[in-house]
Amino acid sequence: MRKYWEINHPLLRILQHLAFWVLSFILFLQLFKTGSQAEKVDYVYTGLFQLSLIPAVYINLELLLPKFGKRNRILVYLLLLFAAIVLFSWINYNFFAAWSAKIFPDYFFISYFTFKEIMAFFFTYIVITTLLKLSKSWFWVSELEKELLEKEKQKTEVELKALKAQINPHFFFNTLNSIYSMALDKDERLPTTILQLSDLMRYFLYESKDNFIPLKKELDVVDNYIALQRLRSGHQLTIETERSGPVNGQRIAPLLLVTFLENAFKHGAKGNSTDPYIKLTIAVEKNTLLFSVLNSKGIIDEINTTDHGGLGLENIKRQLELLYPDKHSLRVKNMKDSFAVELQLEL
Amino acid sequence: MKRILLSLIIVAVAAQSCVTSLQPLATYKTAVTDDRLSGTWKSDDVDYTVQKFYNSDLFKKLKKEMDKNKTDTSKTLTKKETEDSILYARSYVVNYTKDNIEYHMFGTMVKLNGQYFINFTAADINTNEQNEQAFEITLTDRLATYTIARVKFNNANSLQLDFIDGSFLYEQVKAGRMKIKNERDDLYDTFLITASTNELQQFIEKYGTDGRFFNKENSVTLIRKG
Repeated sequence: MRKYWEINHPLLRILQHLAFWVLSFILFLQLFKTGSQAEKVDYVYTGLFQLSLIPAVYINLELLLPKFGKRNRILVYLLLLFAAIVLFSWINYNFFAAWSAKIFPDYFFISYFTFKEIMAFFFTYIVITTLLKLSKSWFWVSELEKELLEKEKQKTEVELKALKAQINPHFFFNTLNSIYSMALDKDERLPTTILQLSDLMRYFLYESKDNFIPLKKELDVVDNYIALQRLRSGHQLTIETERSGPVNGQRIAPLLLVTFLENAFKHGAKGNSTDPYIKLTIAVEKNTLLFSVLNSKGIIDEINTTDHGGLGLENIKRQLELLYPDKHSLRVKNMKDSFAVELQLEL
Repeated sequence: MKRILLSLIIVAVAAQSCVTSLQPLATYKTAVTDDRLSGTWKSDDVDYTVQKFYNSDLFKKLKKEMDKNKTDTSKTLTKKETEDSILYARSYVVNYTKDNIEYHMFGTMVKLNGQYFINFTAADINTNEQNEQAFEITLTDRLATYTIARVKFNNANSLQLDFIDGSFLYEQVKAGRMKIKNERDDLYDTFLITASTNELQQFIEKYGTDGRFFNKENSVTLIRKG
């Protein structure tokens, strides 16, 4: 807001207007002077001529333009502006042609311009000052837009940090629950699981702070995560993965895919579904990523409709809105026996 | 010698603290006539004869000379010639003799703000001296200048000419209080208004009733003789 304040400081505004009128006076004096050097009467005449311009200019800038200078009222604006030009031109013409003899009896001058010429003067001045005002307004709007974008960016970053902070505990909470179950069962795969969790934690804590990371890294984490979940769920769960397309330098928001996957594992592997399964497809076509995950639904999912599973999905939707505005499509299908997510991203 | 004498005459005519303008106040479009102006008038033992241009002795003399030199009678008038002929038709010739010199002046009237004004310019000057070689100057080679006066018809037999006070205008211009195009020479105290006819008319319209623009010393009252 500093720049806006600077431009709109009352003292600065007054100085800008004064500077404009002083410059205008100097130009008029050069135009109006009778001989090679300006005489006293030239100063008086120029000052009075300019004085008749000032109300017309400010009536336009302060009254007509703000009130009627809108697209739907432009005709009214133009009519009123024309009326103002005619009125003040008439005043100017008559002042110099007649009235000034009574007001300034010791100065002798006439109206050196015809009524049409005076109207042209007024029109020119009103156009110039209107354009100056509009360009100034445009400058303010541009500055404000910049500031607004900056604020929006800052807000988005804060929001993203908050969302990530929500996702990570959610993920770890689920995984630690799994590890706890494995520990209770004295599962021999526990050390490997802890090691893989350690790798994932490193990724979550240190590498996912950026808004975008290499796609390859995210896909490695997906692999790691599947391996971790495969160990945990054993042979009961069928996991099918299909991957296509070259990965070379594309970037993606971290934890985006993992969150969907986490959701699938949580719901697909749980409950007493007789034949639980997860089908994962990842296709990369140039700068487009097609990600789909289909998982079976357990009975628990039917009962616990308000469990923490919904939190991850809502977070990811918000992240997508913030990081991929108009560059993503997300379809979530909640069917009777299965749950599918299809995501298309422009990387 | 002729040139020197002519210059002296013009200065003598113009130096009566009347204002001198490079442009006329009346044009062929704005010139008006009034029959009350024609006739013979008298002031300070000088007789003034006012005639409409095409009825004047000066025109008759000029026409005689033109007819002598005329070769092509079928020539059509140019736009300028047409405008001039309209102006002449609405102009007067004022003849008077002073110190054995005959003066012939063109006078064209204009009505501004309900008042008549007339601008005079020298048309012809010649001497009546018999013992000297008579000279006659048609003034066609010189740059015409105009003096301006307000015309007041007091009654059918009395006419007043109030010449604009040149010294007042000069003072105002010198003091930077009057905005009118001019050329002035402060060394010789000479002053010539160079404003356009339109500007002159506007000045007269605005200040035509301002007493400061007219000085009693510059007023002439003419009494009708015939």
